[in-house]
Amino acid sequence: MTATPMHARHERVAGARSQSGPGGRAMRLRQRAIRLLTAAALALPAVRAASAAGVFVEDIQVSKRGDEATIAISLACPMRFRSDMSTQAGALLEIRVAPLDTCRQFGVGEGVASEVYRPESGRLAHLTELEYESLGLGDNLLIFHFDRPVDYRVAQRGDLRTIELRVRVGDDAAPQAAPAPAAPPPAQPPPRTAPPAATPSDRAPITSRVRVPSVTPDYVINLQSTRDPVDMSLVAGVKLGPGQHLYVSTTTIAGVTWYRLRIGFFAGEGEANAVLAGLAASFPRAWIGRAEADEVQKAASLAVERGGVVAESPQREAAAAGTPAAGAALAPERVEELRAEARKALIAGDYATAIRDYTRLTEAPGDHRAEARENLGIAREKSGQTAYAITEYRRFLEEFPQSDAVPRVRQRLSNLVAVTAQQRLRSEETEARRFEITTGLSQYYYRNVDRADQDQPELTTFSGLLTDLDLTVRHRGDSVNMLGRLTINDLHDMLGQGQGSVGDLQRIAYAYYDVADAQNDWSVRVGRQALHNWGVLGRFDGVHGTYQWTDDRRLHVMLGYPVETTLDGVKTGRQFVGAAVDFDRLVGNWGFSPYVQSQKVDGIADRQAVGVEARYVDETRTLTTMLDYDTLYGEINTALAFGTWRLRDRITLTGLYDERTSIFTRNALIGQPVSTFDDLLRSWTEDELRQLARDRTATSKTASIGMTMPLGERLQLNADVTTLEIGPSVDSAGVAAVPGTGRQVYYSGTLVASALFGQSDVNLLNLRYGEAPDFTTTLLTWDTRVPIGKRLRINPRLRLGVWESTATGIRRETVTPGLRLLWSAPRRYRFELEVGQENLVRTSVLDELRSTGKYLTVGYTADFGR
Amino acid sequence: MKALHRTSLVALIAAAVLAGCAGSGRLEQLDEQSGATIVRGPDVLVYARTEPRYSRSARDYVYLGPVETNRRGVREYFLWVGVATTIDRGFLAPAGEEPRTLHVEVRGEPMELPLKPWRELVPTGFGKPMYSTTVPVREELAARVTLQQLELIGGAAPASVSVATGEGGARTFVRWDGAANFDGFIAALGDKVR
Repeated sequence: MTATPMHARHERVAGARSQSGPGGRAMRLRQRAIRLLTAAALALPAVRAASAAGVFVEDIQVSKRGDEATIAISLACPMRFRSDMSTQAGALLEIRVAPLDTCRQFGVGEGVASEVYRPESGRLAHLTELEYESLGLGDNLLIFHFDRPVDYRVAQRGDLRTIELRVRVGDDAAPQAAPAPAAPPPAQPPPRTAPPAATPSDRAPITSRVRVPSVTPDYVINLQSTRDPVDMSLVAGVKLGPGQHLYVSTTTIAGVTWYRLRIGFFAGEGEANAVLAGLAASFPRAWIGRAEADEVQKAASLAVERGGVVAESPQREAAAAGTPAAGAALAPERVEELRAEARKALIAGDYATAIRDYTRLTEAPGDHRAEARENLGIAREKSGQTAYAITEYRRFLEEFPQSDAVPRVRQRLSNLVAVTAQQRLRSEETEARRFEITTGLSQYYYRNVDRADQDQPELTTFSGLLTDLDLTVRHRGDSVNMLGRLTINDLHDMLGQGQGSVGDLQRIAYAYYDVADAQNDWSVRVGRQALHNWGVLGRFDGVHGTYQWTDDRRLHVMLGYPVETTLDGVKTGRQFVGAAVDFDRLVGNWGFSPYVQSQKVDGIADRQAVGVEARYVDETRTLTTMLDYDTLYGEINTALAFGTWRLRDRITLTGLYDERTSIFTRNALIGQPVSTFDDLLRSWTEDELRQLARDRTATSKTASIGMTMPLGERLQLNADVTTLEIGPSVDSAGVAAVPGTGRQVYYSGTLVASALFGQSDVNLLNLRYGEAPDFTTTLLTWDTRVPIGKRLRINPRLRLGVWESTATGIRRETVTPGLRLLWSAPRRYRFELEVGQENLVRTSVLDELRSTGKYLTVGYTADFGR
Repeated sequence: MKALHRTSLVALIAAAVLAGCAGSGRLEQLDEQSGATIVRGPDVLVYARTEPRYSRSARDYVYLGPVETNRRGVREYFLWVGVATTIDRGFLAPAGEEPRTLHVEVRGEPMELPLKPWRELVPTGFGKPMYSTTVPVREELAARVTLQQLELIGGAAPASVSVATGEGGARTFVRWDGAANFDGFIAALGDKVR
């Protein structure tokens, strides 16, 4: 029996369907059925026209034999069976088919189309309705509606134009499901395993029971990813299925271009896996992924042209069967034919064809290969595939070093590389030649109001406006980079005369100009600057020059005037000069910097030191050491070692040992009624002055070990133990001795919790306990910063402290609550307000004192760039 | 008799509590809004990035979790990416740029995974994030992947992953929790479907 389409409707819709759920489908089908029945009587002529133009189901034949009915769907063009899925407890069946390229003439793949059929003979198989839906190439559904749940098997004939559905119809009981599609039951998780395969004896078995996504196939096999352009010889044996592409997709990751050789596209992972199984030996790192829509669209244009190996359709594949496999020899006639075609294409600017033909020629052995390789490079160069062209030219030079064409290929390669480099250089130059000006400005008002005891009046002990300005001008040039920096601050004392005003103060922290070679081979910095390396002990006014003659050797020369306080201008009473050399990675991971320093004060030697800094760095450990020996006094000035060690579980250990004597001749001035050496030299000889300097100089020793340990993702524990001891000075020249501190030991533990109440809050709890020969101290600090919206932070704080003298019995207890508000205003400004009060109770055997100190800080910072 | 009742009551309460706990940790859930069955794993891979100039105790995090969705037999796989931070982004530190692509190195080659909002890829009715993470996620993203990719990523548990942003920046995150993998997820799938 034969059924003709009761109605066919063919419409093109730009967008995707909006109702995608089961309920949506049922409603849509009902609406469609009503519309179709209404339109059927009115539009028969139009139906005929539509049928001629694009009817995809040509015929439906239903037959029955015994308890099995066969529904044969004749398709207008070849379509491959993909999968089937039964829903509504077996009363609705969806079969997914993929049209081949020849279907394009029917309009498949260019939009949405649908057809509905109700074959008279359908009752033989309990079939009430058949729908065909096309949602674009590779996404086509045949939807069978039965009047009851059915058992079925699907098969397809070899010409790919017939789908057969075999339905078991042994039970002729009344229909269990309504003829029209009904709303499906709630979705149930389908079984994960596929049911047994149906294997009709005379047709290709189709067994999949896993429905793949109803979208354009986008599963892709990534055969390999390499930093170099794909070696085409690797893909010689790769066979492609109909409609599939072998293509190269590029991507740049961290500045590195990766070339990814891919095969696409597959409707599902299983399908891709089957293909991958045959390629795994050649591409052991291959994997299956999902391609973006853009890549799916572009894949055809990116396809690797391989002279017939790429099969776009069965027809083409069949035609290719007669083509030798890549790498195999070509008949001389075929070689000439390809050469002529390629040359013609190259001249005509049809580079895609030229690339394809020349690629094919390079794969086949013979004398033509040199010419083909060279012209392949030209074709790629002219088509803008610069990286590929460079590769082809290089391969030519490797493969055919004796060829007469070597000079011109080398010239082309050279030009191409130079052009690429020039383009890069031009880009860098444009980027390089520019000024950068950054300015940081902050103004804070501070006010302290203290009460010495509860019966005393409050006194304002400080009121001032502190202004900081930091200005940096940077210029990146072609050969030298320049940097200027000025950092000054001004304290405007707002206490009145006679109320303890110290007056206005201005400081210069930095004021230097820096010139450096663009490659950082040399640099010179002039002005007020700070260094804490190479024997320089902090801020100075002077010059620091460097010269690097190898990657890990750098010479430093420093000279100038040490700065005792930033309140001062340039003071020339003390001068120093020094030199150092950095030897990085001198021995393994060790680097060393030996140095010499000489410093004078008022014309006599103040410090003469030799020293060495040593650094060790590996993946988990760092160690920095410094030994500074004063040859003038014959003593070690500084012995320092600081190390970190990262253990498993992100525990980091730190250790510090720092012993300093810091002996300078200048120390002889300490406690003396004069302020210059000229005055001292009237009473003392140089040797005596040096002895006074020794007497005044104390040795300090600090040792500390610490640990940082994250406790999960939000908590961190920091703990350390520190010992500190400052030695005594000696009584001499009328200056009393200063006793040593004895050994003080401090234990500290801090728990830092982040994101306890949200995403950005930070909570800190610190307990610190100290023990010294004559006192103990305990301090507990709680500090939390909580976000209020995006711009406001509230920062309450509380500090509780107890200090007790074991010698005198004096005890001080402090309670210091505080509150800080931070507001980050749009465009570079941040405002801050902090208020707090320290409440102190001081008790001794004689009395009790209760004092308070209130403090207020309010101000802003602003940053301006460029 | 009273003792028996009390024992039964205690047992019932205990069972209810246990059931509640089990429910909250369920790996497979039916999303009634979309009709999809969604399977997730018990663990996420945790990656962290520190920015000491802003904080020594706070970090940016990305969490990677496998997800399977099943809509009427259509199974799809996703790598769920939870973006979180304990750094005060937007205040102390610049706001984080929107991640666009995740790069994972597997077998020495990069796997590039374009990211999209999770809710856009899988519009579920679940109010909570797909995975419960230690630090609350501020952004749920996901990449469409295959089961094989999930197996590869979970098996390799790379030491680091890289996130590229739309502005061209790239940030590397280092493995934080070395014990997690996707084995629980694979086990939850039962018979694998490819």
